[in-house]
Amino acid sequence: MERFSRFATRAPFAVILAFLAVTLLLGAGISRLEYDNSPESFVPPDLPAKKLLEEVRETFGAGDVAIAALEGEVWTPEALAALKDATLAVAEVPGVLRVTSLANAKRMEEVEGELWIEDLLPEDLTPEAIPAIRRYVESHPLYAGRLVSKDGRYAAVILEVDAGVDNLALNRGIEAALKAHWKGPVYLSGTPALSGYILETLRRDLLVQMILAALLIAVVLFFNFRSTRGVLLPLLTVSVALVWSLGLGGWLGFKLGSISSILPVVVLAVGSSFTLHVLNRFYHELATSKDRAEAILLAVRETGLGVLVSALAAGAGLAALYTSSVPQIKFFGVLAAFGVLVAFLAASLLAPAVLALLKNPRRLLDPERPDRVSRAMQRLAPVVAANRHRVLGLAAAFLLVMLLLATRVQVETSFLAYFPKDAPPRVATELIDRVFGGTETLQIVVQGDLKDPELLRALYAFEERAKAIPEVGSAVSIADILREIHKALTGRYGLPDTPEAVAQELLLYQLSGDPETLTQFITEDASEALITVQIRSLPSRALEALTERLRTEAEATIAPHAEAVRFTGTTVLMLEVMRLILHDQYVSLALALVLVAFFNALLLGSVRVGLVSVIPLALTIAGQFGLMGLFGFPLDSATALIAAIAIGVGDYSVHIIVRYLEELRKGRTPEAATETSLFVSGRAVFFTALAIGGGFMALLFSGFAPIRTFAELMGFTVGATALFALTALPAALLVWVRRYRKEAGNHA
Amino acid sequence: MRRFWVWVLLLAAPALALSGEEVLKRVEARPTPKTFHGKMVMELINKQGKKLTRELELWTKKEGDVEKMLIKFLAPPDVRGTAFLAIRKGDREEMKLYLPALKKVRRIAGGQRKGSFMGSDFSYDDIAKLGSLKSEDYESKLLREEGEFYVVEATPKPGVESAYERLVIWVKKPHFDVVKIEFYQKGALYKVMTLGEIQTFEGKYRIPTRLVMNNKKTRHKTVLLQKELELDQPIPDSVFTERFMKR
Repeated sequence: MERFSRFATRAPFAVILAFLAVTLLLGAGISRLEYDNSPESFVPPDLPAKKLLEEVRETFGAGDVAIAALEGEVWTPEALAALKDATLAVAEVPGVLRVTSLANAKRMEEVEGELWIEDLLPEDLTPEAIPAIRRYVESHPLYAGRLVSKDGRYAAVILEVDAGVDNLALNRGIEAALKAHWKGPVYLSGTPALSGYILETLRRDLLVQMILAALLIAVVLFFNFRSTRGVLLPLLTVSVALVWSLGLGGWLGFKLGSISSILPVVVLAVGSSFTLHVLNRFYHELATSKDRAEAILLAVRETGLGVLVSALAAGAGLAALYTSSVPQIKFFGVLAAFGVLVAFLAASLLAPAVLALLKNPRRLLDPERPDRVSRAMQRLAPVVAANRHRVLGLAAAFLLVMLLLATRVQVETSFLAYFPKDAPPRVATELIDRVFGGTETLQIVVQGDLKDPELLRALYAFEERAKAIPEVGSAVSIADILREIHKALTGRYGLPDTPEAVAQELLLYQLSGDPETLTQFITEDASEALITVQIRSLPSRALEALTERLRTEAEATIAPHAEAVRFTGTTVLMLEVMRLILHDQYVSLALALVLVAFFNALLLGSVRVGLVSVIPLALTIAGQFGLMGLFGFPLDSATALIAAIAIGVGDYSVHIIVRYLEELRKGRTPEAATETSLFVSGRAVFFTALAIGGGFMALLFSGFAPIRTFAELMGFTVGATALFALTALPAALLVWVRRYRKEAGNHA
Repeated sequence: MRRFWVWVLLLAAPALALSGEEVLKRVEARPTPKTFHGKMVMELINKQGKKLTRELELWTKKEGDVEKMLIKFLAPPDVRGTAFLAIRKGDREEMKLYLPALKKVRRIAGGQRKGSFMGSDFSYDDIAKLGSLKSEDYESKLLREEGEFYVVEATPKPGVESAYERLVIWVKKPHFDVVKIEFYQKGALYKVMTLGEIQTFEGKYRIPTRLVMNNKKTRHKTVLLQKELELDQPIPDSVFTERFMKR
């Protein structure tokens, strides 16, 4: 490392040009970055439920379901005409596969001995015709409360949309098409719509948060260095890191999702700490009247090991997220780790190169001069030393309590949970849930002989049981269509008695119009059928319980008559994601802690030191989860990252260890070494914590609830790691690491 | 200068031979049989390539402005005997359906014309277009001549009810056989019909015996094979009755 920096000070132009070239090259990738926050971006491609969903899309031409509610008096000729125009217009929006509303619903009814199968709304709709249509709709189980609210104040437009399209553009297209024809308020919800709204927030937030984080970090840097270059140099190195990282993502074809909005802030906050340490030392050396080139070298030599260790640890912690099965988290881990390592590279190459070119500042302030902060740190040392066992006891108690609280943490993957209470998507979802009984859909694929009346009766029985559950709005399958046909033919509700009657009634329906209306419920050869269950938007746990209950009902009713019954739909996918996040959490957490301990042990030459070094981290992570359990913060796709990121931000305790060991090697007593390390590194730790914490506070302004929660937890994390690094860590060092030789350091 | 171009156009005109309208008129002028009886094998092929076969028997008869049609399903076994009768007098149309499982003839009403023909990718209208393309309903334009084919674009005239925005019709030269029609809807290609294995019956009727309709939107396909055709053979009126439907 020192060799690198020596090169940087000798050939600063070459270094700067090299950085510039790579920055331009990788930066070009940024323009290739795309956004995607669909359920697919969370689900591993080989998940069985995902494969089934793709099969369902292919077989039944089904898309992901979004629902729009149009508010206003529905039963007037004007409103129905507007609904018709809106339905036609929205069907034209690219990405919309199928639209269902009163405007394209069918009427099948016997009138004076004639069987009518025709459009519900005739071409020339007169006010006189409306009461009869309304009566028909209100008596129709598939339409009443599903396509129009019971009070006639809301009309529903059910939209099936293509997976893998730009949901934001889709939302805008749908809203524009509906609002062009419908005068009243329009509400839109359902998983694809929420995905779109998430993208909207994401695009708005990303840049704002980046700038805000940079500003907050700049303020802290200014208080630390009281100079322009002290602010600009760290920001330069992290900007380079950010461009490389985002650019790499673009070149690798990664897509930005809600989790990615944390990426810039992580790189900015964690990365800036590296240059902060180097620069701190540089000014200190310069202030003690040394030559500039020498000051640079000394700065890198003195801080190098600490910065290297913390960069590797942060990189390892973030890279451990690569083990996640959730693609978005995986990508985040790769890019964040890369960004942090680039920030380290820039701190040890680019920063010295720039420093070598700049003239010495006119006014020199030694950041390591004894000031109020460092004196406070110094005073802390004897207190910790005197109470080392008590401190460790408290830490152990804290660990225990927090671990207990952590067991109460619940996982949450519902897209609705992204939005704060008063956000329009949330309002829309709650309204549609209330008026139409649900915004989410669950799809159940039934394989078997669907001409068998027994199986059809089983489907219907299942639907009846499902609809009895309060969270279920509706359940629709071919059995309902057949009951309608049967009623029109025979005058009474029921299902045909023989397979022949089933086949003939289905044929009759086919003869009446679009064959596609049937193939969305049943395959042509009647070997597979789809039940669509509309449910309210629920927290993941409640959704899981509901799905389990529906599975049990399906087992009891349908399974005995069918070859197979399988559940899918975006809701099921998100439940799978919930299980994955929980499972991954343990894996990535364990892996990250082991990696950090390993790197620290390796670089500091002692297993014991490696183990002690993860104490502040372990305490912090336990604290994070304990707080989540205490305050009911859910573990979701954003908060799932906090542990990994804690490793990134929290490893500045390594600076204290490095200094402590250095003092021991010089033959000082452990107590004296503690005092020096807190005096010298404590101040840096304090300001790094402030800079990193400040950076993360930018996320408090996020439009996503999980990211705000994340920011709150990061506030705790940064404070806690600093606190533990200044108390529990020295206490542990005093107890367990009293002697140190780099070669055989594990004999205390 | 202007006069020069007038001369060029006048001289060039005969070389262009027929206009689009003339091509369609020639298609329309071909003789159509008064009665038609035969079997149809209908293969419904979905986008995964799964095939479902239906077999029907069809009788049609035209007398003045009265058109009668009876269709009976022969296969698959579970719909065998299902019968559909349509009698059209001018604008009035009466339709009846017999479902053997319910042993009842039902009168059915409603706009069937735009709907699917027997659950296939053909609509009733598509089938009707086979017999006669009413050239007066369309604004037509000869797009080009491709070897032995005329390629004509036909756009429904304002006020003419049509499920399509535009048709592009391939007409084969010597007999003015329609061999392919592209149907456009909402600016995009919606369906493509190809008419193959055209045979001459009774020395004058040119009948395609293999029709394929490809729905580009749903990627679903129907193949219609016509066999055992009898044209202009007398069909008694008793065929187009409820009693015959139930038989």
